[in-house]
Amino acid sequence: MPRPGCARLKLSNTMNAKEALIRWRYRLIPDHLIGELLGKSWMDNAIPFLILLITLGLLTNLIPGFLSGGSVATLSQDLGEYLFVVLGMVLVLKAGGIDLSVGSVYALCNFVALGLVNKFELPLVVAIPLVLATGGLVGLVNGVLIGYLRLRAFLTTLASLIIVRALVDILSVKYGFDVSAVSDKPVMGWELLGEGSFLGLPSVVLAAVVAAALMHIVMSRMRFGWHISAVGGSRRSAYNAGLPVRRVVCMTYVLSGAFAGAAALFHAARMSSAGSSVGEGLEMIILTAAVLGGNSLGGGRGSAMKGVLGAITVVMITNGLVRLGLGNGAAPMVLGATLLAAVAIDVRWLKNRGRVLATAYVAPTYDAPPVVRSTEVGSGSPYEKNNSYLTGAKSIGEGIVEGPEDMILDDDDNLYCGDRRGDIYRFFAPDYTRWEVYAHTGGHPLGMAWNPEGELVSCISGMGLYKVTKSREVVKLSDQTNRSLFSIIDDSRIRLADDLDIAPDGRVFFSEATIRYDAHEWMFDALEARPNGRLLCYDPRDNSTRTIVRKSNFANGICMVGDGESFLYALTWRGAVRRYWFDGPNKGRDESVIDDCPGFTDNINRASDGNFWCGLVGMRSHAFDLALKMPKFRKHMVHRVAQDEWICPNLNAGAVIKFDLQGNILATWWDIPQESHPAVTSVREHRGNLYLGSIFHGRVGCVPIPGADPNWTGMTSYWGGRK
Amino acid sequence: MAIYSQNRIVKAVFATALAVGTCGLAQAERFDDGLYKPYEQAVKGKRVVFVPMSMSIDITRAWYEGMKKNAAAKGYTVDVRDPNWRVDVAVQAADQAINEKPDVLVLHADDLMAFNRTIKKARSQGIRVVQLNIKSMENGDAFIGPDWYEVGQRQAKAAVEFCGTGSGRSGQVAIIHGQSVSNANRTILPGIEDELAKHKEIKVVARQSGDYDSNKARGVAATILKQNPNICAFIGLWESMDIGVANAVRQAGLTNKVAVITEGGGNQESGCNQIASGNFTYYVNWNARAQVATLVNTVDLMLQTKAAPGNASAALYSPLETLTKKNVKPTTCWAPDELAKSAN
Repeated sequence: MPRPGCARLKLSNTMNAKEALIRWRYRLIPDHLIGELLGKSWMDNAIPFLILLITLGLLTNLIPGFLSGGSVATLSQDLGEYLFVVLGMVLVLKAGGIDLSVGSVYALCNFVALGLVNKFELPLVVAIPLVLATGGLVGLVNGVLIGYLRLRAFLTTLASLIIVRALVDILSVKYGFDVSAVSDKPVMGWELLGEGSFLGLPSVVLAAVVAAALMHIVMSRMRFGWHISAVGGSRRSAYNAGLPVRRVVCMTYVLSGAFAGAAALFHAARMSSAGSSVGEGLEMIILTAAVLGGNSLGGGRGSAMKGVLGAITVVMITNGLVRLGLGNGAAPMVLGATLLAAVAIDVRWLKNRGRVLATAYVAPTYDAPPVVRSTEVGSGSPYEKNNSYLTGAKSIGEGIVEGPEDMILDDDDNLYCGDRRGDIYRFFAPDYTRWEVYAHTGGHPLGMAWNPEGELVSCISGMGLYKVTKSREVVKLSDQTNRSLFSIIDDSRIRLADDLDIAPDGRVFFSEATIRYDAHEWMFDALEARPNGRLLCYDPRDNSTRTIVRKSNFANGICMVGDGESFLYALTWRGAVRRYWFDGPNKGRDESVIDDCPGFTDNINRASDGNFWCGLVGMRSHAFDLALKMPKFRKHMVHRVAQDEWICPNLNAGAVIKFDLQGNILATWWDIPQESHPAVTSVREHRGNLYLGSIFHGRVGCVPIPGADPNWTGMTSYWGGRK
Repeated sequence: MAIYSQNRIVKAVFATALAVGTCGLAQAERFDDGLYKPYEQAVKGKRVVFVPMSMSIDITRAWYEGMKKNAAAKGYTVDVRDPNWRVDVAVQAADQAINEKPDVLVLHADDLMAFNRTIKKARSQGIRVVQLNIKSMENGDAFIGPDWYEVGQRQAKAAVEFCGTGSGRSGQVAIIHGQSVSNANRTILPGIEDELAKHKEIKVVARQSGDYDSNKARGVAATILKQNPNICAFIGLWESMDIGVANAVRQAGLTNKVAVITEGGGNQESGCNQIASGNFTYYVNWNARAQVATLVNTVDLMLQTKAAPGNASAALYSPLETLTKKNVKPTTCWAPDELAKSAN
């Protein structure tokens, strides 16, 4: 008979083993990367690229020598010509249109090019612009009809497909033979267009690659590209934003025509054929290529790279099918099926991308916070709920201010605090009933501090680090830091600057709570229990910002210790306070001060007696701490349960603690009835009073501190007589 | 254990003996008539690539089946690359074929210019080029097809016979031609015009394109019929297009009164049957059945010979015959299946 104690021991051993396994699984497998990868805009290219690889794999398997040098050169001849047309189509699609006339325009430009070069023997410097202009002219007609007269793109370009094709047929019957007869001495450079090659690649593909690169720059970096994107994304919004919608739409068709002209130029030089089959059915091939590459038929989404991917795939398919020697009609059938599949993928992907992303992005991990210290009366814990000192705190700015996360007082005792509507309010001493908007920042100001010049420096949620000069001018100090080498999301952008403090030399140390979420998504960050926060340093001397500490679990309050070489900082979800040395012999040291606080530590500030105040924004709970050890449970909860049913950090019962540098808790002040100041995000001592801020409240609280130095202010503590 | 290994030994000995025996059999020399050995070396394992305009035409199917059957019998292969009517795809397919270094490239290319470079390139690499029915500007090693100029002459002569002096008819003739970039079209028209010029009583009242499309040709012919009520004959440039002309004539109730003069390869369905029904009055037959025989022989010859110095080109013109109701015999025309079966 095993003794009961023994059984319990065994049980806890297996529990430990299981937990260790979970811990290691979440340490080794970076789940969050999936969501971050899916969130990347280039992820849109992943599916087309995969299709390209599959196609390539299949065809190299089926056709021996599919990728031999000569074969690639022949393939790229077609690819180059298609690519030009696809680039034009991508522009039109991105602006929300469609151009079915490309095949006919291609045939017309082919005819014109042959006529100019073979018949009239014009030099290329004249012939090339004329051919491009011919394409552009047809495009202009389309563009005016669709852009300015607001006709439907599909039907308009269908009509121009028919009309231009008829024109080509008439010309071909009359002059087809005349223009296709190559003279003995072709115009200089003409053969180079058709036959020239460099490094085994035909000139057309090189020209097309250059065109694609230029188009990539235009579409992603230049005004016109952004306008196309805006018009295709939402025509009405673009119009309301003052963009020249009609002109942009019109221009895409002009460019599409000119691109078709460029392709036709190379085709003419290569084939010298004015037959009526030139460009027949080209529009379907081009559309298939564009959509297969991931360019959306609905507009707004498209890039040169997508066009390139799609064109390569389609050229491989059409070429491969011919080489496979499949029966008559097999090639168009496969191409049609491909187009259908591409459209289906396009529609489904667009529709579900957001949902897939939302599901995959939140990636809870294993976390085991230290055992909570008790708050029970009589437990002997320094956190005992044995007072209700904050109840009945004096209220400032009630009904005026919203969400004062932090507040600060100047030498004249005026009080400044942030407001969620994007302002900094000033309440005038002595009774704090008079007030004004001190500055409009545009974002929610969180942590605040005075710099040596007496300017107000503040972390503004979603914006970065800003200061308000004495003339009330809002000046950006920093909104980006160095990008880390291996991060997938762009972590150079500062998303959620939280609190700051300023070293004697003027350097600003500030915290960013999380790099993965915005301020209103703090609950996801808490559920993830992943150290997503970091500490940054802004150096006003060279205006640079560097990341100094990474992987902090919701880095929050920051407070200079006063020795000129270290500061304290709070890790909210851990209920911890740590000390970091930024200078001196211990530079880089990072050690724990408090690691078992039962509440979520927030902003830290100095006390007049040389100790420190810290606000607790909420209290940890056993249930949530247990859930932190169960990442799978939290993931299921996020996916399957409505948000208001989640187990999440309890942010409606907080307190204020006072502690020393050794981590001893000297006092804990409560608001037990939770009437005045239950959730405290910031505490600041000023002339014997303690001011209380809370991001969830509509007021600033104030309680007197028994026995405090009535003359002590933060300003003098930091900057002494200087002002 | 012992029995088992004994069995294995017996089996092994038996197998070895069998293998040696078979080898002995295989090694027995085939009788050589003095030509067979070099022939076998020249032909075995060689590769022919065929690029037609489209595999949906009866004659391309007949050519291909004929070549395939012959190749199978002689130990080489024929691959087909079907561009499905698209010239640029056909050029690409031919270029791609050249990369694979076949021994003979058979082109059925309906474009004067588009294939010129391809043909030059192939020949410069020692690939023999056979052109079928319609020639590019650039000559290959051999051309198998009609002398289109004579086809035109024959059609014109038929028109003179039907409409000329002594026929009691108007002498008004309309010409429905095909695509201008087709070499057949380009050569056949002078044949017609030159011949008609000799006969002053014949007047060409219309020259229009039917674009090798029967629907288009029917529309064109119907209009011409309205505009020229006295018209006597239509000269068309391909049976598949001219069936549209015949329909227009029939709809106007003028079958046998207005002649439809066409040309084609002698397909039973689209040729002889149409002659019997009166749709076609005259039919210049360039005999695709004979072409198949010429084709397979030419390919065999190409495989066994090197290109002549100076890249000479051989013209293997098809035998021509002008068919009317009077001279069509049951064996004159062919059906695609029968042609494929009978090939060689």
